Amino acid sequence: MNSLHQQSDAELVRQAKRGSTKALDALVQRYALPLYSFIRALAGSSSLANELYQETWYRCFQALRTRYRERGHFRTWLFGIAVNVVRQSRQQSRTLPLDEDRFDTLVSQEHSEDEVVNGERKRYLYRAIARLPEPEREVVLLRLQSDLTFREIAEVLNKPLNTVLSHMHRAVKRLRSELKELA
Amino acid sequence: MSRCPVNDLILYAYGELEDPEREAALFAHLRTCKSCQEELEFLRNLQRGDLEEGAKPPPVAVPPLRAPVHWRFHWLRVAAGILLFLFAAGTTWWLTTQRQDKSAFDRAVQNEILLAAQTDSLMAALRNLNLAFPGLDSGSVLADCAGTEVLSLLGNAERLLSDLRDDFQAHSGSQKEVIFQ
Repeated sequence: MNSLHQQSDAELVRQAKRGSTKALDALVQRYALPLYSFIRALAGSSSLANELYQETWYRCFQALRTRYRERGHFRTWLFGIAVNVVRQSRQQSRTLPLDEDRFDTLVSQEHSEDEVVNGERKRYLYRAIARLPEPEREVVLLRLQSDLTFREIAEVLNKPLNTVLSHMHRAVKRLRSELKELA
Repeated sequence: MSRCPVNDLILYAYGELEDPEREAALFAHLRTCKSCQEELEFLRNLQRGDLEEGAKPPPVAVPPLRAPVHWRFHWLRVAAGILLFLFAAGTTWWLTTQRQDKSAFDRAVQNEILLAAQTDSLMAALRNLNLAFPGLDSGSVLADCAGTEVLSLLGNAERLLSDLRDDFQAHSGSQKEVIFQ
């Protein structure tokens, strides 16, 4: 018998809906890091990201308990919830602060010269992404941070694939321009 | 110079361009377009590792979404069994009661008619019936019988029985308790 971590999302969802907390926990473990990284990059501050991350899972559990139907992929559905949670938070607070200190900390923890250069690049890249318009930032983070395909991103954001690719193209142009100095 | 296939360029950079013809067209374009070559190189460098930061997600409390299925079915089965038993018991009780009502009434009427035949006093029998069933509205029955002296006792007895049954059924709610006291 396959262990829970080898089973597909759909199978884990079915077991979770039948009452298996182990299956639900396996789903949480599977998506914890990509989901949290995505939310944290979108939200800005760590404390807010923690709150939105918990809220995303809470809504996921609620929907699984009541209205979730297996029409699409679980992970695109989950990231769709995360996007909505972050957007609603942004509407309520109007601005989400940019937590640049976390990348400064990241750089200070690295030791070799290459690692410092790499850390510098990450910091510039992060700041450049943080300055992108919202639709472009969502696409870039879902692709780079959460490793979703562009078709999955289109599903998450409920937009046509070509629109998603246009956002990515515009984002790449901006990022190239922003990172020119570092290069 | 043809328009740059930027969408296909992005899909190709991340391994998502699945159409061989479009891929071939992209390669042909890339041979002549320096801008697209630079963009492809940038996209290839812009990989997932660029943003990984080792942040640890906070723990999530995982609740059970619902009770395990076999327990749910177990309780459903128990509830269905109880309901079925109550329905069967109620139906049996009701049917038995109805039969008892009817047979008790029939026996009482037959006894009185027999008595009337024996005593040639149908009126006396009716009065006895009225006394035996105080709530029974037998006034009309009595009036009919008083005006039909020409009818034989046996001929009248059948009609009497029918009238009493109708009257009994019309007042069965109040009569049941009286009959079985």
